[in-house]
Amino acid sequence: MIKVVDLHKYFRDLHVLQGISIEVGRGEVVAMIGASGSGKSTFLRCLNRLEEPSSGEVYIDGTEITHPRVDINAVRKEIGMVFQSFNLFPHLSALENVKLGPIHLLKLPNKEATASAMDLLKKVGLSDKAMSYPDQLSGGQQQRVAIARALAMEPKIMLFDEPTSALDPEMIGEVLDVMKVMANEGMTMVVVSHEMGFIREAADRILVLADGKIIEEGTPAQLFTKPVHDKTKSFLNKIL
Amino acid sequence: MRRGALQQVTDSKEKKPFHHPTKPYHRRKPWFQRYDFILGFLALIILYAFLILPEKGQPSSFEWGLIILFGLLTLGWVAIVTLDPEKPAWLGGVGAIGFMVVLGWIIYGYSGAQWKLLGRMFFNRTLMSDAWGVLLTGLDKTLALFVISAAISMVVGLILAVTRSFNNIVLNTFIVAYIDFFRSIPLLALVIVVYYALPFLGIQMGAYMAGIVSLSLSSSAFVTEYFRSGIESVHRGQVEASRSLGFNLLQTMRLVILPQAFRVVIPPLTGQMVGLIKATAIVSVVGLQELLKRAQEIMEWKTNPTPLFAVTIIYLIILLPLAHLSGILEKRMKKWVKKKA
Repeated sequence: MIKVVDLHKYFRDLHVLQGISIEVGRGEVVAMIGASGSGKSTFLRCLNRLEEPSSGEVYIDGTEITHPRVDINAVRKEIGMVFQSFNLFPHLSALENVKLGPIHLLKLPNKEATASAMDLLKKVGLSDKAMSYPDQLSGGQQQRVAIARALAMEPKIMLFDEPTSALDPEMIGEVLDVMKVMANEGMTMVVVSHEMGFIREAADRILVLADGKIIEEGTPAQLFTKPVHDKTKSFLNKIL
Repeated sequence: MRRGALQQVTDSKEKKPFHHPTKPYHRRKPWFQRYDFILGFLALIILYAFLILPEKGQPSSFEWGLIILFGLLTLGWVAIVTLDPEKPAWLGGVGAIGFMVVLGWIIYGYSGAQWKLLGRMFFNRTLMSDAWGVLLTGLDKTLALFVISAAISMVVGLILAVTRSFNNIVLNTFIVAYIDFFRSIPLLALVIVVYYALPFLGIQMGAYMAGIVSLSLSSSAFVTEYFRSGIESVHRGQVEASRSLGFNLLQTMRLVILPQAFRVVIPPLTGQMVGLIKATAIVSVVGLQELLKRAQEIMEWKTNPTPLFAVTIIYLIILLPLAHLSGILEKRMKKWVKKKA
């Protein structure tokens, strides 16, 4: 589903990603952990080219999206993304946020888009907040609307960039619950997160990043019980 | 001997007898806020008005000094009354009204104006009954000038601002040069150059056209800057969220950025439009018979300035609602910023 070959990213002189290669299968849930500044977010953003890779190749569903002639907007329709700071559109209600993409990109008629948007809001437990504006919602509610907005495009892949790190502790659970449901339904997910409980339960594989490289990977059981790399050990010690 | 902090605390305790015994933190009233002083001061001002203020008419420069001193004394008295939080509110109101009466009296008494001519010269109704029709033909031109230049400058400003946000270096250099040039050239100079200088290059246009061209050029430069600041005020994350859904740059601009930018831009934009209506008067210098020019013509013909006064009233009637329109628009755009109910 996702294949990355020798991905490098420079910010001027700073070598942020130093040759990353991974493969993610259909329906797989991959968690990425690592200290801040290790390149997790940059790597995630290279997967839908919100960040342009400096070199290397990224394949989504067999298509090389790093090819200069590829229609990146068409690719992005297939890849949903959820941000740390939600980034809901503040001038639109929750419902309008969710159906903006389907109406303008999938060209659905308004009635159909509204119906499926309401279904999605119901799925994330917010059907009663459809008419609320983002300002009137809590952080956890906003993030769930953001997930619904991404799902409305019926993506094949979902990317999560620290979806719970801007939330108050009591709201983290409601967002993680929605993500667990998605994982169980077979969505291919790449999640940057430090929510170890969620990772243990939902992730098939963990990648540990340090200084722009993958230093270790394995199932949650392997990594949590006997990490190999020193940096992994010290990192896990700090957050567990 | 060096005095420690503890020593200072005991010092401040020794000062306690200065405070009111039952209210230890009560502020002591300074001498100038007591009623006897305020009343005395008022009496002094009234005496000054009767004894020292010069006769009505045109005062000499020494007498102007006396008048100004009188104004300052009154202002001082009002300040003392209004700045004291313990004085009742009505006293401050009375003081403020008193000060305005004094100001009005000074202008009435010493400006040298012949007030008995006021009615005939500024409010001459018999004269205006002939003049309204002519004035209104000027109003047509003023409004047309405004509407056309406003529309042009909005469209041009929006296009330039959006173009600028795409960060093409070559285009941006041109846009910045355009903005800098037309923002810094005085509109009066621009109108005169367009009307009198361009014909030497073979570009001929009438006063009406010259007005539209100069107003649009100048106004669009300002509008571009307002739109740009509005676009830049939208958070980067909004663009990323929109692009990650699959929207292209133009769709992102239209559906996500501009709706948010408009809200920020409304107040300065309304100000610009108010300025534009006022600026239409400048086109009278190249002979366009808009409102002001018409009024001047009638004034010369009837040798009476009532039409000029009427024109100021007309401008007022047009502009006052516009200022309130901005408030209404803002409120409507702000419905989504309402705090949690």
